[in-house]
Amino acid sequence: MVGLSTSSPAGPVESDGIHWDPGYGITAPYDLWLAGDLTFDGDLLEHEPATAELDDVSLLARWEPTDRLSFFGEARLDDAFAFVNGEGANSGNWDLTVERLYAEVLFTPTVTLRFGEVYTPFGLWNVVRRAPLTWTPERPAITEAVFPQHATGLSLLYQATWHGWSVDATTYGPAQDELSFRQRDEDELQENGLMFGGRVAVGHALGPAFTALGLNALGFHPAGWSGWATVTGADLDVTLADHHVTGEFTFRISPRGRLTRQGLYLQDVIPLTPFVPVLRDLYGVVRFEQIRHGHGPTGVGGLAGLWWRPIPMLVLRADYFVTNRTLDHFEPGLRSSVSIMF
Amino acid sequence: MAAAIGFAGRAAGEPSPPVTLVVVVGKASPIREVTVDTVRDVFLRRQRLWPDGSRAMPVNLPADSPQRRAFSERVLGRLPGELIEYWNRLYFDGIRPPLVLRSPDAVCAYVATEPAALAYVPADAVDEERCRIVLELPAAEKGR
Repeated sequence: MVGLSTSSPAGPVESDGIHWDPGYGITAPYDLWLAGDLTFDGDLLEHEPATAELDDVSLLARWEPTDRLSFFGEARLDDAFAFVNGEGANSGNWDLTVERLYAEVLFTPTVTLRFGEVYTPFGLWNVVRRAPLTWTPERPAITEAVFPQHATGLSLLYQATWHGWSVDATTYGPAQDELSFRQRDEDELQENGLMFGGRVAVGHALGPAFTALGLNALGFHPAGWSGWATVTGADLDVTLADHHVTGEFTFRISPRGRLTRQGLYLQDVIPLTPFVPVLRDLYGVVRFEQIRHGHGPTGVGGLAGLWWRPIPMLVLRADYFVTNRTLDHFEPGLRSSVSIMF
Repeated sequence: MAAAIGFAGRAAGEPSPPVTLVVVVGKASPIREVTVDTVRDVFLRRQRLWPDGSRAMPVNLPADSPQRRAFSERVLGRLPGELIEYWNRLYFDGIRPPLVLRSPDAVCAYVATEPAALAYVPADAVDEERCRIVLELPAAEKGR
């Protein structure tokens, strides 16, 4: 008899070949996996009215019809319901978007091809975005609105380990997607365009730490632009003594050769359960950020927050952000969220 | 009999007794040998396919078992708790962590029926009627 165990205190539910592991999704016959989550946000920003909203409802699905072939999709319902202090409640636009939709072919044990829409594999944060399992409700400013956040086209991935050195390489393009950032200067338009890019990350143990360093570069050329904009960056991912330190540094050059965006963040996540043993899966988060738009002033900020998953189906997050000046995606105040995962 | 090595799992607060592990497959498995690098990639789900085109199926012991902690630190380079964010990232691609079985005996029973499975057990728990050792973790080589 083979015993199956999970980390869910509620325990898995099994019926007619359908296995539900609360918080981790449903496994159905024919290698189909389904998962979803529901996130409520509550913000108390210093220069904005207080808001409470049903931020998003997400559905994830993966189907692996053969050992080499799989399909993945993510749909998201945004802006469903909001209450704004002083304005009252509104039902929102109920925007349904397909965030990702791709086919994946495992050519060899180390080479994978993806065809379809993916999160642009630039840095660490963009590929997980605002998912409930990110450590803070809001992403670092420099990971937002700097490059097209989705890439639709071909992606080729290489993953292997050589003598303890892990190597991850990704190249993508030609990719096309609607550019999602706001217009910041005359060079930037909200139109579809072409994009090519790549990422290489190398990881190895350094003493008691496991350290990975990634380098990222992409170029994009929306229709109507006079040339290509480039975005370049580096990222760091370190685990040491239960700390998880991540950071990214990114800058963007416009088609006219101007530096239009630059910034960085450095974040440390610390397990707090050893200090508060009665609270399972409680983490503290601290983050330093810097961002500069074009030749504008430099914003410097930092946050301290908590991330708690008391049961696998529930994720609570809260943080307070302070900054020397308020900029786009760089607003001081309290952010919190409650996510229910199925 | 494998000349498996012993190494200490790092427990919170106090040292764990030495744990001796070997990597195993089922008797009928086409897998003849693996490297530490391959074991790491398979257990981190970075490698999800064997060279013959079958799906690689890693099998773990429970996260609180000393064997799991020792294996994770020695081969994956991180303790189970240090991999939480890693698995969170893969969750959003629909890639799930390895199957977890409760005991070395359950592991041997599973790999005996699943040719594409790869697992680890204490050396003294290998059931040679059902399992075949494919890797002896060398004492001199640091996996981290």
